[in-house]
Amino acid sequence: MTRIDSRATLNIPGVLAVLTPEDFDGIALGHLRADEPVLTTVARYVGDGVAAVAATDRQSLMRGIEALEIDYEVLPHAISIDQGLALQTPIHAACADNIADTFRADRGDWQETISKVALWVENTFETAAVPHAYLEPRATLVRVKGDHLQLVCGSHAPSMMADSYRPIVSAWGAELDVVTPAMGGSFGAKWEHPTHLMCLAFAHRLQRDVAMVLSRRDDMISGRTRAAMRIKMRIGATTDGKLIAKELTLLTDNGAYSHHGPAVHKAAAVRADNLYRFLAIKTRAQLVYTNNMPSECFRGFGSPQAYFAQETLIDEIGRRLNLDPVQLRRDNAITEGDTTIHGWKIGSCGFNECLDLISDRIDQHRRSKPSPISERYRDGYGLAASMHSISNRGYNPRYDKAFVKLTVTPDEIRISSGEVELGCGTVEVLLKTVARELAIDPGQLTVLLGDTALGPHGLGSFASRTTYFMAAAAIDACRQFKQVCQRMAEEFKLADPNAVNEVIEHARQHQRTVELEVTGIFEPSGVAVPDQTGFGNISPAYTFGVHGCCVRVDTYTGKTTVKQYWAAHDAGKIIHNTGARGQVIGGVIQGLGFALTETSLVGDNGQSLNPGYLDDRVALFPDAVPIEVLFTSTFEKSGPDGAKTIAEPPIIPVAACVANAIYDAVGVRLLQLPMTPERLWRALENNALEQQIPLAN
Amino acid sequence: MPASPSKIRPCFLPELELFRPSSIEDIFKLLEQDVHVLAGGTDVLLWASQCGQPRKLASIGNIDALRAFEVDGEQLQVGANVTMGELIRSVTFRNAAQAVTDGAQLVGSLQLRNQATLIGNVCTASPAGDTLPGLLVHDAQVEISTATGQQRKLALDDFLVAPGQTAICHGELVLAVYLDRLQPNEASAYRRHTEREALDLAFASAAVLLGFEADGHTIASARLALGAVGPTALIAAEAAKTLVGHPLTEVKRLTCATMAAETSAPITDFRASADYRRHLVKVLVDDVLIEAQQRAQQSKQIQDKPCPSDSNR
Repeated sequence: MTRIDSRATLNIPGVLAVLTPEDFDGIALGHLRADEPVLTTVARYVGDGVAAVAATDRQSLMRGIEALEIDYEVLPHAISIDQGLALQTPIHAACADNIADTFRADRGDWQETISKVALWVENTFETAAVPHAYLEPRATLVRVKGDHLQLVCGSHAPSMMADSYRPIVSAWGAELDVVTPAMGGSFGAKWEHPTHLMCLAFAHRLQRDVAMVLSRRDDMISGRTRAAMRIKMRIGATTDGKLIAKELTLLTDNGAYSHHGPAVHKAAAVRADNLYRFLAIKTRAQLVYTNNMPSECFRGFGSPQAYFAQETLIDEIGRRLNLDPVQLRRDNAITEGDTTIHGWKIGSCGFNECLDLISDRIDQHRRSKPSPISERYRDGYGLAASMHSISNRGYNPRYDKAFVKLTVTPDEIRISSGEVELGCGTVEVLLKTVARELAIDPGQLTVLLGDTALGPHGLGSFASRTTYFMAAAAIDACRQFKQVCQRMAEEFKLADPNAVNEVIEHARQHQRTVELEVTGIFEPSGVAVPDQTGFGNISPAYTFGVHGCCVRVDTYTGKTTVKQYWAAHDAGKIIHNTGARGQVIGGVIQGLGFALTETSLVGDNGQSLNPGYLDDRVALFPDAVPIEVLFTSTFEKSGPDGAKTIAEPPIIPVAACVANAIYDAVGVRLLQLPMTPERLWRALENNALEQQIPLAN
Repeated sequence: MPASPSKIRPCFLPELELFRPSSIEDIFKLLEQDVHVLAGGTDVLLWASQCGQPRKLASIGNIDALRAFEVDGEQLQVGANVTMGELIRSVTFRNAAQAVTDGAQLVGSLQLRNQATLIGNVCTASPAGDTLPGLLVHDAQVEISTATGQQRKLALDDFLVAPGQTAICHGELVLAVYLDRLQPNEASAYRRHTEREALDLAFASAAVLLGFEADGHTIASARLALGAVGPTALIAAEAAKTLVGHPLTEVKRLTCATMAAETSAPITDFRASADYRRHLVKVLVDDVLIEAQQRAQQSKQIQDKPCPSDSNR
């Protein structure tokens, strides 16, 4: 932006203020690589903010925006990984080679191991950038009370958001709290965002409440996406089907700004390795700046991309070696008591049970519904496996723990937590856990979440951590609460020292409820911050999932229809059955969109071609397929009441599962997501030539 | 090189001026003042929020004269206020205009179909409009009236001029669409290709109306139309002609489908490439030929069949 003149805008009645980049000098957002300005003089992607206008009404606002005089100079730009690598002009002055992060991991004796490899399978896979399609578009409200600013917005982590923004607003002489109301799923998208600081700055300057609500279209231009990846992977096996070596070269489209990109590409680079007993690993990963929408963590944190490649290659190994895909995975998977190649310590492990459940369902279905013989329609079965962590040690130590506070008020027992409810069952899990632990009616309980002024500190609802961490903290709070109750029961000389309700009544009568306030803490044991190469036990427990499906391919149009889907998960003991099943069904359908239809398209100049759900084909209700949800009988000793987690895992194996079924149906491996009808039709046309996985070595 | 910022598009519905005339005369007065006609509004309100225009709207919802829905004569009459939902729920209409019903059932979603009108789909003139190929094979005529009450009927093929453009002139109003009802020994069908099961636009589509000789096999007449593969929904007359006088063999279907694909004029855009769309035409034409033939063979049963409930798309 070579020039901005806002004088005409400020003269329009109803316009209250204009913000330009200089109002945010020196401020940059980003936990891992602070590179995103609030407003910028260098627009690095089409949704970048260069100015903000506040007005009393929409019409004045639109007139104000139209009256801004702005000149641009077009800079060289990159809209793909290749262009990002080739671009001579850096997208960020501080990053000359456009590589935001580089990662490598070497394990085992590579030369020794590959000398034993009898079969290599290798291919290069590409996954698409996909917007999160969160339930509510981004919306922000700032309430002003003198120097105190209250930021109300969707957020996975209000405590962390407050930590990010407080240094900025305190420089203005203001204080800040963040409130996140109950919201719909955001799937990893709602973190710090420039629009929050625009609203905070307006509110503070104007000393009045300010709101900003993005339309879905604007949100799909200035929001975030799942990182598009190019995954070059090869897996080496012995003649008897031992998976011993894996080499990965990963290129990730970071977009214009970093956010969780550096963590996501590392996770994509190492996590999938842990499922099998590889003897040697060679991994190289680069995170490339482009002029696309910034990438952000998205349910699965890089794993849906990585498992798409890995599980497709393992399917191919099974076919080459004529091994049953279930047996191949069973023979190679890690199990309880193992330490994986990256140092993950495996506790309870229901992986084999998942394999059995899916294998049974597929066999039954195959027997009961033999595929019709038709030139046009071909049926096929596929399966894919996955594992996932619960949270990820490696954040600031301040975020290692979880806290749950119990407060007795005149009318209720309040459970408060710094986690949030975004459709993941936070409220229900808290109510069930506390009611069970205190043996009281859940009708007496209320839940207060996501308010940094009122609740305890909390990391937030993401990384599949909420149930495991927060419920464990709730159990600790209840343990402390019962201890206090016992002491008070003795003092009040109550007949039953465990009578929680009676103690509460007495405490209320004697105005002594404050003594009953406790804060439960959970800190996982045995977890470590991984080293630079990603080695270390990042999670206190691990979850497992195996999916299977039956697809029908219309070979004339290339359209794939999923006829039946089975999803088996080891999520530990299930606390909230309806919620857990809902998470699986939602994850699978979301995964089907990722696998088959969804993509965020950009034109040559970086403009968004499909900023809406007509052409960004997120799966809808009619696209839902029959899904059977299965849980293993695993009990996780370290988890609250035996629970692990279910949040992210259901999306992880979906693309690979469908891809393997398509191969079973028509003998074609699609290497690029989404696997649209046109792509499959083309692949069928070129079947013999390009799509076969070549033998290396 | 200085570049001007792209035109700012409002992202919300602007303030609208809404008129609700209750007579045809009143609506013509409004049309003289550049007021846009509002029927179901499922397209018009989208344009208003995306492009800021139109902002002056005249709802025709209160004009009963435009509610005509005659399904008993040789010609079916569908007035400007008749919704897709009404069409779909009429068993008589379904049996008399199968291809149009097929298309109406695929438009948007259940809510949209209960709001959107058939005439709206016609006047929007999208190349991908789901009812248009069906209307073309049913030889639809668009009835247009001027402010002075002069009425004319235009073949739909002539009415559709370009994407979003029709032959309607300033100040004119479309009153109704007339289409030929299926005769005994006739059947029609419409199919489209989409990636999603609802709320999607056709990548390509095809409709056919076949008439059979008394022997039940030889094709006496054929009309074929294609959608989303040209600037408007288009009639593929030459391809249809290849069928007449012959039984519908696989070879005949293939000849017809191939010729239809060749005569189509699809574009490449981010949704699909031209050659894929052309390939789809081939598949879809073959599909609708088979479907229409099956329907003709079962036509007796179809007429007796109760109306299936509208699927909850």
